[in-house]
Amino acid sequence: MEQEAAVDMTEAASSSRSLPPFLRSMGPAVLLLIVLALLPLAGLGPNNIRLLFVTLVWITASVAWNILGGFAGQVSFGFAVFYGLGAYTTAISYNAGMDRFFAILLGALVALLASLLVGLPTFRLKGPYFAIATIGVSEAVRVVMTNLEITGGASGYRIMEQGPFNQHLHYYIALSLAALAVATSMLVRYSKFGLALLSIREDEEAASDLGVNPFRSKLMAHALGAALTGAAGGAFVGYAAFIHPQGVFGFDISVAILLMPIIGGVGTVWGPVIGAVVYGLVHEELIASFPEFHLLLYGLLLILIILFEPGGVMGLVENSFRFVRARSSVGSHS
Amino acid sequence: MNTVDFLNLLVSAFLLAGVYAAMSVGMTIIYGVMKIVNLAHAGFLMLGAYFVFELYSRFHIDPLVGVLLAFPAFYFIGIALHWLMIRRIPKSDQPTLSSLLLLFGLWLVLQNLGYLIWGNSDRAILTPRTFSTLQFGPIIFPTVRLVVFGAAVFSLGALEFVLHRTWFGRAVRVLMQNSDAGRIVGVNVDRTARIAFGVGIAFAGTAGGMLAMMYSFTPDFGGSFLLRAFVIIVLGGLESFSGVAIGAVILAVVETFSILVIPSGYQPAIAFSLLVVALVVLPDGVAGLWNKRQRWT
Amino acid sequence: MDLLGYTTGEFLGNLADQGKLKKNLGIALALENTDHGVEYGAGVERWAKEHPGYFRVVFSEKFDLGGTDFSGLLQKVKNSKADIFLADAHLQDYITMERQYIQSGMYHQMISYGARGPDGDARKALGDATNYIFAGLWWSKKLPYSQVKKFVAEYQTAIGHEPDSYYPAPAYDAMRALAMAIERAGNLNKTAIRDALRNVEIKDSLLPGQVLRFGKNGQVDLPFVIVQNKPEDKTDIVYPKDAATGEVVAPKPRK
Repeated sequence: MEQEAAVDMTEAASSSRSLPPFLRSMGPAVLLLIVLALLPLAGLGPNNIRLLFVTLVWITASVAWNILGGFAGQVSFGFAVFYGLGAYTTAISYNAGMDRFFAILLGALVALLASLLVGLPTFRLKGPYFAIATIGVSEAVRVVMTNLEITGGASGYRIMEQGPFNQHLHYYIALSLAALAVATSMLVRYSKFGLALLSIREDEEAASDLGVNPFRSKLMAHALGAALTGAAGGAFVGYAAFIHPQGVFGFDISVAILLMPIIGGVGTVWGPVIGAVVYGLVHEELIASFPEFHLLLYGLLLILIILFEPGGVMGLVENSFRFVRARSSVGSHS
Repeated sequence: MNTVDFLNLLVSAFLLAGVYAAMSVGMTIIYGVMKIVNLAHAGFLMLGAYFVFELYSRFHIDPLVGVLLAFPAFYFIGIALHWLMIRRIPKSDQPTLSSLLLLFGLWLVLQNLGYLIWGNSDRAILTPRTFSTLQFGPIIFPTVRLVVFGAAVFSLGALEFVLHRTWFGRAVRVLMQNSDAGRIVGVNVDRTARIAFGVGIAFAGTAGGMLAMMYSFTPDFGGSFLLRAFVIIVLGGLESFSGVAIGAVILAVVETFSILVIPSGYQPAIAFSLLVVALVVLPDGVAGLWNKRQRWT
Repeated sequence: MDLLGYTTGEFLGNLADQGKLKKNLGIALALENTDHGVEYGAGVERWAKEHPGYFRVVFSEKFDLGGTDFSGLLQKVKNSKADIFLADAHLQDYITMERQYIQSGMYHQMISYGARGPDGDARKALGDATNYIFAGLWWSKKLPYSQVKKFVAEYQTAIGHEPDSYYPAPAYDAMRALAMAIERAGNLNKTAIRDALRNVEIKDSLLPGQVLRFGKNGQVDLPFVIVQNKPEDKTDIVYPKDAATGEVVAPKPRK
């Protein structure tokens, strides 16, 4: 993780000579977006659209988590609380008559406010203590929601549908959300704010000596991540039309949200996207064909990544490029 | 509520504290010495439970004997695990996230192994001891919980003894403060860490076996205990064994008596809220508060 | 699940009518905090409300799954001075709670854990403590239908032991219904199969009532059977009368 940041900083410094990395990755990103937008119109079947929908929701949450966890290095084990709050808020306001899009917006807002409530006391904690505290918060909210009668308690909460089910609508909502998340992540990454977050990740004390306000920066990153994750929850509940506390506030959701960026390459812009795709597709396939192995797979992946390639898939790719580049330049130095 | 009921509830709370302390010891050792938050602790609780279960159901070995056998068995498993992966994690005097994630991955693997070997049906151990109780007047002591309480007291006492009265204990205390300084002074840091890890896993397996005498279990057993272990270690001050006792008592008492005033559906929220409050307000735990007070006087 | 609770109430009311239980007894409900538990409690309360004078619900609380110590909850149950203890729990909590119940020397005239009772795993974990506990089940292998006897024998041959819970029978009949629907639809078109499934009717169903058919809203409406554990690992169906294989023992004998 440390090497990645160093490399990118020199790239940023040399931006005057070539396109800034920000713009360089725009090209393929926009192309991908166009392809994804056209897929349903090109006749992709409803089952595959559903698969993509779920993956896009995961991408949003994964990228969102990465802003705080990857860029700023604050690993939260409790992002499910934002996902769940977003989902419930969206569902409740939609049932109360609010427009679907504003309901999702409200969900994001509630999640954002919650992130401030959570962050204010917990950001004083370092590393694993912060991680453990986030578990406590998320689980406490889950227990409360399980007992709250107004929102259905353990029985869950249902959305009253206003019209027939339009799968394409939900797909495009998720796609826009994922695009927004990736764009936000890119904007953050290549901005001064992003540099501040990276410096916090490397050495919080040194960063504050240099004029960064770690507390405020962490809160902002947390808020961004929470809002996006809340929106992801809102998009999900629109499709699923039924949620219950264990399903959206569960610890396994928090785990999934943090597993994805780590698999793909924590701290990079595209790592979380790759991780979400891997997780989303593999998860579906595994659950269908080898349900008895999926924990084993994730566990092994996590172990191997931590031991051998902390940079995840992106790290692997980077290192192989570096390997190839080093190989090709060795000859010229002999 | 009359006095007898209150006393019985108090006894229950303290016996529960014994259970909680017993299952937190392993985690405390590993954390204190290596600054590693062992999320796989739950997995070893589970394996310890199945270990004792298999010994009992296949070979008719009394669960208490099984628990004793678990200690050396899991000690070796711990040593092996340390050699295999733990020693490869970048070391630090501060808890690292890579260790957190690595052990979490290990926990997932252990769970899956459990499912593959034993399936997902609930298992339990039933012996004549399971229902027996000791009665002193109107106060009832379930025998099994009493045994676990005794084991907890004994383990904590033994650990405190080792820590303060033996050469190895001194080495451990050095590691708990500053491992580089320890190297300078001649402590074999790697060997000490390896032994400590082995002991931590040994305690986890033993605790799991004890839990198996009380509760039924499946391969995802241990998760709720893990969270409670966090609470206890944080409440008690992450690095002392007497702290574990204090933390366990606080959690058990609060859990048991809070049900009288709030609907029991909210009970888990108590553990979690205590955790967050403890982390934020008492970063050094209750023991830390005590130390601070001692410094002022 | 609501129907399970309701049937439990009905069964207890029946016992009161027979004189085995007095009227106006207090019921304590300990429900697991899931929709399963909540609906069970709602069913019991609904029956009690529709039949005044039979029972009063004097205590009702929810507990979270996977509890480590039910002492506080059981203390509250004790304080409520109820005569009947109805819990709804998963196997793990059933085992933990019943163990602590016995250890604290509690007694109630009738005890139930919802749909748990004669489970093989529970018997292994609790031994004699399961005696006289009754449960509401979707199915019991003791049902006196010939198709059930045949099913149990075939299951024994195929799996190696008799069904030790109620799950195999509904699963088997569900597959039968699906097969019938597919045959009737004549193809694998999912809409056609769904429409065919609506009209499926199995006349020799393994389930209580012997007829499996789907109502207007797509749900099945099957009665429950109440079983009671008897000493020496036996179980008897005690309700409804036409499916009974033994007499109910009420109130539970004090040891």
